[in-house]
Amino acid sequence: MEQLAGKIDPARIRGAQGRHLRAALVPLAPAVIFLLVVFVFPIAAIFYYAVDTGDARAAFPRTRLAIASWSGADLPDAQAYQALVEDLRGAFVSRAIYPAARELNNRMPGFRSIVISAGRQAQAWPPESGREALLAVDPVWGSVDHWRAISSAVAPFTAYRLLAALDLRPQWNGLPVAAPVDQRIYVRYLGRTLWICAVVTVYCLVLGYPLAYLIATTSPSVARWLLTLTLLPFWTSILVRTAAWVVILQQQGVVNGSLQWAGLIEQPLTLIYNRVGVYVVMTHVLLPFMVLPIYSVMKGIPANLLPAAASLGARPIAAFVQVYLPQSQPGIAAGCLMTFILALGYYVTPALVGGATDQMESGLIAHFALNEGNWGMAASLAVILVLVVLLAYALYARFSRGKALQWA
Amino acid sequence: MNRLLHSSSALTLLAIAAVVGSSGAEARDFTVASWGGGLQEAQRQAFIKPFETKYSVKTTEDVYLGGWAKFQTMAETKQVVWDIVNVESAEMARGCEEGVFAKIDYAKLGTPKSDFTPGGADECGIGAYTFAFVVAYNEDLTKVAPKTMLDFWDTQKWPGRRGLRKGAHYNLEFALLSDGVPAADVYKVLNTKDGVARAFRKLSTIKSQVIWWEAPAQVADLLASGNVVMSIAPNARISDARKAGKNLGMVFQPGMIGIDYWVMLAGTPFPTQAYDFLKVVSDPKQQERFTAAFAYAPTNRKTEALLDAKAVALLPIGTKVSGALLTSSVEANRFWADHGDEINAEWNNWLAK
Repeated sequence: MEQLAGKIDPARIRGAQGRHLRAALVPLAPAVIFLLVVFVFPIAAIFYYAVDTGDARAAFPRTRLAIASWSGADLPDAQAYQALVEDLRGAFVSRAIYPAARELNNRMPGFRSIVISAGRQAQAWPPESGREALLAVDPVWGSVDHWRAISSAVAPFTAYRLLAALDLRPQWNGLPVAAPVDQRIYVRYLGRTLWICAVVTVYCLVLGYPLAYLIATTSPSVARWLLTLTLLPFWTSILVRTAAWVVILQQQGVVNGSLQWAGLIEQPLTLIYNRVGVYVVMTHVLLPFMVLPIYSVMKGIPANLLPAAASLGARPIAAFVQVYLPQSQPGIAAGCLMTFILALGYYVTPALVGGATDQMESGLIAHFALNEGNWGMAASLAVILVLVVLLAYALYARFSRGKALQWA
Repeated sequence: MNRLLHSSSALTLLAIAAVVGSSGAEARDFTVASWGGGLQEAQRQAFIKPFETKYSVKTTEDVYLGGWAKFQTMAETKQVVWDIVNVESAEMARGCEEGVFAKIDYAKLGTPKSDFTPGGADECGIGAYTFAFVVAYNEDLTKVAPKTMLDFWDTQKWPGRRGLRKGAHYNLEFALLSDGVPAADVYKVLNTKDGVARAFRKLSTIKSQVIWWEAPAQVADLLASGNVVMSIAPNARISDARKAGKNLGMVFQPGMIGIDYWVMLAGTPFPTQAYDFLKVVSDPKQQERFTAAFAYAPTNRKTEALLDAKAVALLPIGTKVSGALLTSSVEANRFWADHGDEINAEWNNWLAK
């Protein structure tokens, strides 16, 4: 041994490792490029959309320059007004006024129609028109708050939407302040989403752990059957499964019909279009994601550990809690993480089987993107969700590496 | 071994580049989008299939469930994925103003504006049909049939869940009408903050009982399966379900009617085919086939002569809808184009509470 030790050259080992790494890069390159294109770039784009102000900046270039040094304390000077009229005139013709007006409307409700109508009327105004012409159209053009909204909308980037996604509004002095009470909904949505996901994760754990234990410890033929049955839902479309649940849970559906026939209830239970429906269907859909990681970890736990603990005097429950459960903790952590993160992204299921107060954050994102075309707001809410996912992952990292290593 | 790895990864890169590069230059078929279900089926038989045969244009269909977002994305990305769409009047007006929908040359179309019913021929849209929103109910679950649309709000006499279309459009009007605002003043009242608050207050009285449907094709199922006892629904969807044997009834009064339009996307790569399609949908013979299959009133005056009495009896015209609120008037379109965005934001707030 001593002789061999003298002949081992650390530099040669490092060189060999480097060659292995370089050789691995080549087949890895397509996967890396694929990940960049379909994962990293889109997420970076979402972060960009959340703070981008392209619409208003494109429509009001002269105004942007004119108010670059504006203090915001009082109304801007005549030059800024003339620049604004020029911009409105041009933006109306180029149609850039519409997305810009929507952006301004987000900050000052009602501003959209005023901006568009000013743009329309500005076509007929003489050149050099400014403050008087605008004030004649609508008095809001003399409001400092509206000018501040314009200034914020033409800035290089804006935190307005990110703050709005947390029910905050920016102030001119930079400090955010809570939104008016009747406009506070996003934090509630977030809280509700996190709660539903947490509850579904717990239900999946309670149902999935025993199932995984059963599959891991019975005879191979039975285990094969159980595993197939657990995976069977993957082979049907999620929409088909959700629609099937509607049939089962509805007022005159299978569950209510059987209970009424057995005489257990008189009036049908409301099992759908409410929170019960959401929990049931989401648990059903996410169960395999909990079972499989736990099962794969349990498969690696030696089968002789529990008998060994019994032979040392531990009663069955104590043996399970002190020996088996900690060993399966990495699987629990992985299963919970996967279930929680997947549940965060579900919006079709709550939309189909839930009520109005069961809609989740991702449903709001889909609504803004697909129904309203407000990609900025959708992106801001998505950024919040990404941060929540990162937080969940950090918790997972903390809980899965700590104890498992003690037994390694 | 290395050579195999190098060449296989080079091929993979090439494949990815090819996929990414080709997605920009795809040639697509002429596409028509409508509301799905029985309506689209009737339009397929009456308009789309005859158009395909007569002009030999391969046509793809798509489903559109309302809202402005799809058209905004098309305008911003300059990627026009639809050529002809069946839109509601508010979207038609907004698209016309923003230049997203093309102005229609009635001389090129071959049918003069005077051939159409009032409101049936617009600058950027050709009237597809006149519909009515009714309160439909499940006849098996309601011992006493409701007499007017206002019975929708009476949860004492008719306990059970209600169905409403998801979204502020049409629901705010319905709420104000039910709150006693005369049809002529509905949009004037809606134009004030108090008016909107009043509409939301009325809706809050039954909010906990409501199931919100998004696709009109869902309503008949919700009613027939007993998930809702009463629902706002487009009249022809209910007539269609009755034809299929479902026991659904409907009440028309006080009435909300509207006109939906066929519009042509301004950047369509198929301008000639689009005009040919518009010719087909304004043809009285084709409109008769559509109306016979789906109980919406036609927009070409000459169609009425071709209809038989049975079909006419189901249409939302005449005394059935006298005094009804016209939800596709110029006033209505102006209101939704100007205030749609902020009212939708308020709607989301209200719905989430």
